[in-house]
Amino acid sequence: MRPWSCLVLVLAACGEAAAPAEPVSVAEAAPEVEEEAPIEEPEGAVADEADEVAEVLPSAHELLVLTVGEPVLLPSETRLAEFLEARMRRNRRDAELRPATAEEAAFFAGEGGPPATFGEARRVLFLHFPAPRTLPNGDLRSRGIDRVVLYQLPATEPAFVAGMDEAWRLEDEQWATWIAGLLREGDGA
Amino acid sequence: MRRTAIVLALLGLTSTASAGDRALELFLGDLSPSSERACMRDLGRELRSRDHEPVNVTRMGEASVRRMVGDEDGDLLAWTEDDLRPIVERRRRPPYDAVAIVDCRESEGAANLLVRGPSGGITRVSLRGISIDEERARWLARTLLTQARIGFEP
Repeated sequence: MRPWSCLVLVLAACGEAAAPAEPVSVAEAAPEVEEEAPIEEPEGAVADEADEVAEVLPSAHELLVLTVGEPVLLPSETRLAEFLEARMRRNRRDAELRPATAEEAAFFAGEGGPPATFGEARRVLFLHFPAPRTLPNGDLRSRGIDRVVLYQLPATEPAFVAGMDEAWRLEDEQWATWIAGLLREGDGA
Repeated sequence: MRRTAIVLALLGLTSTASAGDRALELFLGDLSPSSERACMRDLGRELRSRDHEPVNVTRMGEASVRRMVGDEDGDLLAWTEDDLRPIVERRRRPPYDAVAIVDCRESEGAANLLVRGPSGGITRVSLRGISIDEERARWLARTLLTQARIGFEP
């Protein structure tokens, strides 16, 4: 056995979870980067980046719902996303909802082809949150959602596009109902 | 007991609509081909549904709409607020609260929808390769109303 093979085995043995080879290697790489890289950026930013690399695997669900925030989701927007996810689970929809990766956001912006992280998803729904409004006291307030795009893979042209000049600020329940109307079961949408 | 029930019923009515409330004035431009009527029929039914606040719909066909916009054969989704101004501002009458232009083709599973709301913002919607049955047409109507009511003051 070659020396590097022994090293791989030792690293695999040290992993916390017995997972398939590919995810384990990704999970192991992140701590090494954190230890070796000089701490120049805010701690949270480094951790977020590492989390994203470690967690995003190809989707194993029929429907993938991706949020795109400018620059990131506000707490109220995250709560909306969580509400939508809970509603989909309650309706027994085979769906995954999470923030878009950089590659997925690029695809949403019209750059590149479908990312590998789409996995087995047959439908991908993007929800775009524009940059928030800054109130006089400095607080940020969500504008809502200003773009909704649905892809029915493998087609790379969207099946549905809604673009709002003024973002819609609906109640969580209203969003859930509206999206359920878009993502009806059994009609190909 | 009966008198109490009547009073409660009246209170319920007054809580959903005020005496001075008025209906949304909506212009509906129909750019759908004459052979594709089911979608617009179902969409119109939803707009008149009593499930919503009242809407007064003024409907016009493609030739009139394009003449007012000044675009004989262009893509309706490219129309701007300025393009729609001749429709919004009626002569001798208050302006429309909202303008919606629809091109719905159920046989192709395709639809384009443009809605200008009371504050001037526009929402553009396009569907491709999605079956458009009665339920979908009614959903499109509710989408239309969502935008049409943003900024509307009864």
